[in-house]
Amino acid sequence: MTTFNIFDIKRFALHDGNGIRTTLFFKGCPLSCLWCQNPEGLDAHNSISYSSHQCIGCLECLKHSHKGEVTFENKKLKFHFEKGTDYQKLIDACPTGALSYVSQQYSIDDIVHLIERDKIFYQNSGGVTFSGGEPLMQGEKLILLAKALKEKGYHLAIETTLYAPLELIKRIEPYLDQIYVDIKIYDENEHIVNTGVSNQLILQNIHYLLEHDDQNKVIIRTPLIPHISDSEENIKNIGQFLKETKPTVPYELLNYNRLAPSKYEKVNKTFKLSKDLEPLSKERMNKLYSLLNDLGIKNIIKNN
Amino acid sequence: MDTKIIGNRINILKEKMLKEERYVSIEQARIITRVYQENESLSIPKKRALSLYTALRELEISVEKEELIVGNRTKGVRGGVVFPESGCSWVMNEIDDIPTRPQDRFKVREEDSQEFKTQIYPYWAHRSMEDIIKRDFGEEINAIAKVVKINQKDHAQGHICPDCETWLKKGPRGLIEDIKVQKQNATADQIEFYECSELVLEGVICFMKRYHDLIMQMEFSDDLKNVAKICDNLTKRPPNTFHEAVQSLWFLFVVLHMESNASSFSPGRIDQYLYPYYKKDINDNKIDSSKALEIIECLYLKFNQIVYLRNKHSAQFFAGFPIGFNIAIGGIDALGNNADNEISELCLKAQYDLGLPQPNLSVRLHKDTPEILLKNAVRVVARGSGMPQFFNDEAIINSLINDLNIDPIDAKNYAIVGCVELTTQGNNLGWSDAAMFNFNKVLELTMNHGRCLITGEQLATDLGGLDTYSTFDELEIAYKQHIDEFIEKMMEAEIHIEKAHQQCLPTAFLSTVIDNCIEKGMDVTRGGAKYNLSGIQMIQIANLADSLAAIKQFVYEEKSVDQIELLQALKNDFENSQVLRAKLLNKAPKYGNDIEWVDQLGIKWAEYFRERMKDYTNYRGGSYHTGMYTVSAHVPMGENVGASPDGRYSQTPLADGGMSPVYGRDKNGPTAILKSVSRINNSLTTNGGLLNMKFLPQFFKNEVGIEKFSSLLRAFVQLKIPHIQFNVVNKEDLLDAKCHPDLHSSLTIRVAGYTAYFVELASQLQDEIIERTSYDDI
Repeated sequence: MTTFNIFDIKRFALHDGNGIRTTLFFKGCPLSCLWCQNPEGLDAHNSISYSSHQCIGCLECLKHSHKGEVTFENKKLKFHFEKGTDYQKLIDACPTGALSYVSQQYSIDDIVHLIERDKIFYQNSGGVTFSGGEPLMQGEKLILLAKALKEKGYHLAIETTLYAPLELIKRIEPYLDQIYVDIKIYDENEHIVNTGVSNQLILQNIHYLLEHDDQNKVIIRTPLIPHISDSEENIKNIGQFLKETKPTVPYELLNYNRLAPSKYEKVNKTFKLSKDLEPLSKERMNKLYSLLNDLGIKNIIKNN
Repeated sequence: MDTKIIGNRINILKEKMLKEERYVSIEQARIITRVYQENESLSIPKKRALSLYTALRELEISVEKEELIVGNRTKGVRGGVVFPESGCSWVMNEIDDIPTRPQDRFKVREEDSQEFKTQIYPYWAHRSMEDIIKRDFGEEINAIAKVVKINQKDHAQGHICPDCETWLKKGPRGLIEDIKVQKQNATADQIEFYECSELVLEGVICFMKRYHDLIMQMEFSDDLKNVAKICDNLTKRPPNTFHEAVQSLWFLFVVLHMESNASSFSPGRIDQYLYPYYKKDINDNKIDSSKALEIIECLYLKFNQIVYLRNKHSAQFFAGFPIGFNIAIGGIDALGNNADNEISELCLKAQYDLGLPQPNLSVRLHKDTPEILLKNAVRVVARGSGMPQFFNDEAIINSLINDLNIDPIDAKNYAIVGCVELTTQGNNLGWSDAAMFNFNKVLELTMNHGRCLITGEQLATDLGGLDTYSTFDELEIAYKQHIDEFIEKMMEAEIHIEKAHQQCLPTAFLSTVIDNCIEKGMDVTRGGAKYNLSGIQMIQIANLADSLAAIKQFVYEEKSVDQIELLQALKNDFENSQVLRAKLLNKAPKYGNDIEWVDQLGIKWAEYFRERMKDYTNYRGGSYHTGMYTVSAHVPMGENVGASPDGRYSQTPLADGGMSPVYGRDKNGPTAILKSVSRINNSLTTNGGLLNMKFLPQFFKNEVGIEKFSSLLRAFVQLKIPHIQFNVVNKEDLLDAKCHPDLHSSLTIRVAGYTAYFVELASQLQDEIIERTSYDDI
């Protein structure tokens, strides 16, 4: 059976497309952006989430750790994945929910059923958003899901890196009503250093979509990461690219938020940027806006 | 008119009002006591009418020179009026603490305190309604108090929507004419009623005239002179202009408060019955919309000048002096068409400008509510006062018709009294605040052999306990029996309460503005109204469903929790049972998450309770029905309940609202809450339901947010949920969330492509969000 590894289903999503939506977060991403705000979605395979502040140290889980999968050290659980990867019994024993799997498996029927629950809220072009991780990493399966949802009449949006084969994009595009895609960094080398991959494929795909986007589905976004993507030069280059491709495309600058670091510890990862980075000031945001304006990018979305 | 001038007048009046200290006032108590002492031979209805008549002639009055709407029941604003006929033993016990008590303080002048203790109280001890109820049925009421809170023991019922339309159409003189006609063929009983009503209406005319006379002695501006003229006109004829109509309306409410000293006399659909006056003045070029707004804002200020002195216990249940001037705007008309008009918009605008606790502004929504009204209402919500609240015509009207046999024309014209209590307008003594029935205390007694978990006292029959029921069904059978046991006792108490009201607190004036009292020649407390309902509140199905779900799943299905161990843990308030408590809190499914079987575990008991109401008739011959709201009663009601299987500690608050989930347990977000709540059949909330939802102010920050909230409200209408209210989370809430994460675990931070719970954020980041959370951001 076709299943998907999904790490969150957010109902009443207000910022991932038109109207009120349900956003599905698919696990796995080909990029590894230093600032990733959903680190639990990076790996494609399932993994353990452990929230130490929820843990009351009752050690109920240890009673089921027959192979020594976990030990309790310095008032925290320590994981020994080499000794075993089936944590279900330990998770069941945890009374607080501090210990859990990051994701769950859902079939297309499961998803259709879950989406259906909020059908009544999807008026005014609300609907379903694929997010992640990188939803396109699901490949062919995602087309099946998009088709199944479209048959039910849902408005579909995707938040994607477009780091995927053009053929796949071409085939899923007809089912999508809104496509949110990032141009994070224009310079190829900088892109490789900060996200782990080249941006050439991404830019080519964006170029293709914008040229063929007669229904204005595409919205470009740039996350402003201090010292990485927030330079005037970067925004100017992106603006220039958009101007040459489709100057009327809606473009949104997402100001930095400091929400990401909180999640890293839970999934046993390290946040590599400084935790003290600040969002851009109003003045700096306005400067970037006027820079884009001067370039002739007129359709700027300002939600910040 | 220049909005700056309006702003000035309103700001001056608002500032004056808020600056003035609140005092306990014994002036009316002094008058009432004197009248009673001088007229011992008269009947109580006559003494009551004469007392009101005398007060209308004698009470000190005042006018501020900026006022466009005048009138109050005390010389100072926001006075706490002592009202001896309904009850003053509690005043005697508490008067020294009123200035320092935790909730709703008033200052007390030393000489007033002395006079009350030596002159007023001694007359009323054993005579007031409070004393009579205590004497006749006090023990029985106390015996069930932990489970059923019987209300209206020491004050008049209030909670009524007078027939404002008729009042405006006829004025006191027109009503006197009606009475004279009816009197011609009246019986002796009726004649007494008519004489009382006539007397108080004469008093009202005199009261209006006194404001004219007072102004004429002041140094007056043209505006104020006009107000004097209006007062004088109203003594002679019904209002002709918008300004006159609003002034007349306010006099009506001042006098209703003087007569009953009760909470929640509500103006109802002000946009409907004031509109003809507005329209006429607009057509005649007598007024423009900004002048009308100024008059409405002056009325709003007046709504804040009458507050209500409650006893210490009651003040906890209904904190913040709520007096419940509820205004309902929008909705449909008698033909089912959209009824909103310019006045509806002005009412919203006035709330937007003033942001005061009164009126309690309600917007009636329906499937054809115009987008502009909806969005403007959401913009007012974004201001953070929790208002307006929204009511749903699609949910309410049919249930009033089908479940309460209300005439369709009255049902379509429904309004709200007090907080969320539904009523027809001008013809209903709804007795909506009759009692509160604590489902969770009953569950406690069912689990613990009829004994209180907190004191060990035997409060109900021993039908077994968690340690003896071998199946979930057995527990439910015992639960049902206990509910029956307390319903029976509650109903006996209700009869005694209403009887005492009839004896001690007949209300001749109120009866002149409630159909069909004049036609029947019968006081409203005796059943003179067209509709005679009594409403019982069911408290709280959220905790009940959560507790039952945990018991069902862990104890009887999975058998992963031992029943004796659970009972012991509850007895010990989870001391040394933290693992068990964590499991109950985190691993059992909870009400409000769109999980049907869990929601139904609570709802089915509300349905059972509602069904049982059909077996009883109230003392006025009307039906009992039910509501699901608490105001602030979830705190004191929670204090009566020991530790519960939903993981709640002993004596901590229950869920707030009435239909809302336990705060923090709603992990699936607002749409899931609405889905869960929509499973509550509307027949259960014909007396009013309350759904509270909290949001961070960032949600309302821009037009996109306003639009999405409008969509949410459209879905709310379609889901046929009767009520919703949005509270914008404030700084204090977030500070509390930081200290008590388990109480606020559902508070979410939402940005694009991301979701996180507030309590899971790093402390520094929480501080930053707290810093940003003020209304200046919006």
